[in-house]
Amino acid sequence: MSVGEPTDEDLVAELRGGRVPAFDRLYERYERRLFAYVFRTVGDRSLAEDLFQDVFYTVLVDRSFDPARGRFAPWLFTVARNRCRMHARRAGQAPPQPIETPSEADLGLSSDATSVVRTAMAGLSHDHQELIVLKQLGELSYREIAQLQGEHEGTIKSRLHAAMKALRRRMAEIGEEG
Amino acid sequence: MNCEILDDKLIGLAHDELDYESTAEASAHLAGCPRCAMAYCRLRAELHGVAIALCENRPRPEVRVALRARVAAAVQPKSGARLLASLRRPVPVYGAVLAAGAVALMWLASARSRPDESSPQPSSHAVAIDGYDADVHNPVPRLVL
Repeated sequence: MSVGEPTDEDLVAELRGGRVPAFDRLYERYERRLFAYVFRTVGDRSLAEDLFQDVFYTVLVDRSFDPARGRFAPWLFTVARNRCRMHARRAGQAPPQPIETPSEADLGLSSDATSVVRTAMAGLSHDHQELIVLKQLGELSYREIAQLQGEHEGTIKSRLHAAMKALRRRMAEIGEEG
Repeated sequence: MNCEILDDKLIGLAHDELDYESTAEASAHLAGCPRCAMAYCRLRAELHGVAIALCENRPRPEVRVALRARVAAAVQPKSGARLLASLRRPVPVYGAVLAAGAVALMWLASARSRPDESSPQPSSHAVAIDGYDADVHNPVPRLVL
């Protein structure tokens, strides 16, 4: 975020004060990031859109998030994670479920590099995928991820480093194979 | 800090998760070691590529329209709430209302103290105009004997 730009928390406060244009800026910031997280978690575009709307609406309107007391992004991804898990439970799946990798048609693969990343991600465990997504898309800190997952910060740090190394190794292998 | 130690910290550095001292040491090493600097640049590029690849999809535009309408309906106050909010507004609004009331009262008081100019005044004399004497220009005919 560049200097002078309102923070996410400022925008949430503005929106709750009745200034709807703040919604547009928040939406543009999180549209792809949040949708990607939900889509990767549930693996179905239509369901992902429903959950995406539900999560975004809840976080913006529900006063349980106080923009004066915490960052918006961790709260948003925490609610998203809980909704996805709740959905999995209702659907009769035992959470946490492995992240289903959407089909190539769904993903609209557009380049070799993108394809390499996706293929490499699909080869990782559920835990590693989620950590990478929360870090690279959610832009959460180690501490925020630890709070979200109920783990120690050190544990998250070592798992995330292992996940990143595994991803890079896999990407290098796929690059050599291709 | 040597290359081996830095290699362990490279991901933390790219994620901006090192403490101040470690960041300073890593930066100093990178400035003098082209091999590690290259590895760091490659890592940053890969992380950026991962982020781009992961968020290639977006919801359909209709999702945004529907969500915006729901959020707007929830955050914009209803007409009753707007009236209540205007009544709850503090000093500046009330001050303006009181000032306008005071001006109106003063105007009413001054209007009552003035004589009523709308009703015609009975008068037996000709209308007097400055510098004009009606008797001079229209003399009363005298009886000549």
